Amino acid sequence: MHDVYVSGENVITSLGFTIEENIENIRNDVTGVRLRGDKKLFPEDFFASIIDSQQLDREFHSPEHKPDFTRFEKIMICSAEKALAENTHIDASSEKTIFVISSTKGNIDLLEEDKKILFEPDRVYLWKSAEIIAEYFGNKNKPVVISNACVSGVLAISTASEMLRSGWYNHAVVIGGDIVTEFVVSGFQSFKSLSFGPCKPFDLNRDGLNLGEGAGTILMTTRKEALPKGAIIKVLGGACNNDANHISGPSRTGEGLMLAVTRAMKNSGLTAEQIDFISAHGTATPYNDEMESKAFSAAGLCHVPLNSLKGYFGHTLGAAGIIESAIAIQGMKQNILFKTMGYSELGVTEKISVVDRLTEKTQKYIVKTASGFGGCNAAVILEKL
Amino acid sequence: MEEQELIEKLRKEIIQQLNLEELKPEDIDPDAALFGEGLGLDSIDALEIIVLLEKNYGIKIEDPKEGKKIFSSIRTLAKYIMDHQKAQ
Amino acid sequence: MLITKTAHIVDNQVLVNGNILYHNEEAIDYKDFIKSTFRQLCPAYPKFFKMDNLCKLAFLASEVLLKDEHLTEKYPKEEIGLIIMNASSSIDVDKDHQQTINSRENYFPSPSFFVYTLPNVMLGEICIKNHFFGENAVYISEHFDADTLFRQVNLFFNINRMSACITGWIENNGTNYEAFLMLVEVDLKVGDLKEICNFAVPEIYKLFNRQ
Repeated sequence: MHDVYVSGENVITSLGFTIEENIENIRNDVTGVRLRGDKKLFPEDFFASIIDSQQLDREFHSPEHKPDFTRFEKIMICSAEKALAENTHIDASSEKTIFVISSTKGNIDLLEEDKKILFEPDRVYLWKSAEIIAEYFGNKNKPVVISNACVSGVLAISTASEMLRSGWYNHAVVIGGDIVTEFVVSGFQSFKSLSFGPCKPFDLNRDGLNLGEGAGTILMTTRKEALPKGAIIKVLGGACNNDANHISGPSRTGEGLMLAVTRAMKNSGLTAEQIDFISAHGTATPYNDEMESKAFSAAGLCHVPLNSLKGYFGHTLGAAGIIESAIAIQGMKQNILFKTMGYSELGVTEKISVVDRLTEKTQKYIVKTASGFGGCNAAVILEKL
Repeated sequence: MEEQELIEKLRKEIIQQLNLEELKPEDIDPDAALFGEGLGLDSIDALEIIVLLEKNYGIKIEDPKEGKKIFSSIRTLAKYIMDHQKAQ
Repeated sequence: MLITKTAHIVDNQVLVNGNILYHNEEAIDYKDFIKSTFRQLCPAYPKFFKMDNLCKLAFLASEVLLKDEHLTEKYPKEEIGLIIMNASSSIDVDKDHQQTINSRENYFPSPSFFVYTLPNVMLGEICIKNHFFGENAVYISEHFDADTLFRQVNLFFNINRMSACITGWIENNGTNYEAFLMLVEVDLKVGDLKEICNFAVPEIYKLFNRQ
């Protein structure tokens, strides 16, 4: 069994195209959630976090000898490219490197009438985008594609780490992404789960989520010598499971998430007392946040500071687990906890410890959690050496 | 439209909109609870009834919590539609 | 690990352990096939009729596979996993949802379509019915890839994340459908007589190809 380390990260969100830009904005209380009046996305104005398209065009150019890429593929490739550029020890084209892709809907906008003709019919399938992304980097291994609602990102990190731990590969490029589309906005609207303003995770007055688009990359390796200088982050155990309660509503008891968290801790050889921080899912819907508070309480984690980052970039679906883990990793490296944007007063039953301001804290072990449609929950533990 | 006529129409529409395939319109008691006991509809069904109200009757309900009160039975739903359409 | 049972739904047939359990020759299309077959083979479950085509396929396959297995009596509920692969995600109902928003004049997105526009919801429906709280994952692959599926399932078994697993291929692209499920168990309890074969790639392909 090999130890698995994080050797680099990147995120692309409305707050920027680098980790540094995103962190700078988070530290300065800047949110990327705005009122959007794009009638192509939805007939009425709505709050969302959208990547700057002009900047995307500047940052990503289709190489002339290569074909066009979709918006989804561009943010995925751009994110991975930036992460790899800063971590040249990882050879993306090596047979000892595996690409793990996480997304809920990928190129779903290609179902729109005016977009159908832009690309071949197969392009709407995630296996096809994943192939194109891996090919871009010259990687010949078949990418592993995970599509498991909003836990996809956390599950991708955990799955990639186990593949490396078992010695199948030396390196993993884990990329998660989703774009804001009419498909998704209209769907969440039909569920009446969108907030009427910037979202308020765990807050008394929370009223729903904001959608966001983004891509995140986490590079992993078993080669300690390939790590950049500075703090070393290890990926420990994880777990994923089902609430077995309802396909869209979270369990009222939080049993599923509690089990995922306790199993992840057990798989990492840890107890609740050793956890220093929780990067929670915190979508700011009335039911999700309540469920999470119950789960964390049942797992013995009420005293552990937690945050949600959804107030900065919205809910980025298949990217959420990756983007939020990358930010949490920065928090570990810098010994700080980022505040929960949008939160002011606790609005859940259990007395959990929501971080409401930038706080200095050394963290040795943190847990990243996610929950999603279909009743799934996932958790993964990270360690700072 | 008379209340009874509207109730008959709603029974058919609810079965169709909510995919209650194993039920016939006459199986739905107009005064039985739609949620919890009775038909045992869930939160997604409540949202679908909101869509039905807008699509077939032009009535918009923004807050799903408001919906649950209106939808306690087919008869309360029918009464709500008749009241709201009178007001228009 | 052993494959202790299989269920296969394809070409209007339902097979268990490779033997035809039911051949629905009269069904005129998929919708007709899946509903009439469910009524024929399974106990009543009204929620079935609210599911989209992919979930109906997954649910029927799981009911056939799990009949008389009583898995939650043999294994802790949090150790029963569901690891499924497919090619088209939820494309069939995705197109249904897209239809409801194509025209601004007739714009009525439906939550009962949208809720199914994620491939892992089929795992949710199976878990709800059977009270499984274990590992869940959906992998997307252009074709049924037993090598990848075997490796991932084996990995989860080896790191003690599961004791039993329902795994396989559940695919519906609106034109073609196929469900192939295997029940994989770590060890059989004393008194269990059944087993089919080792959980291994050549065996998986033989079963999938009905050889």
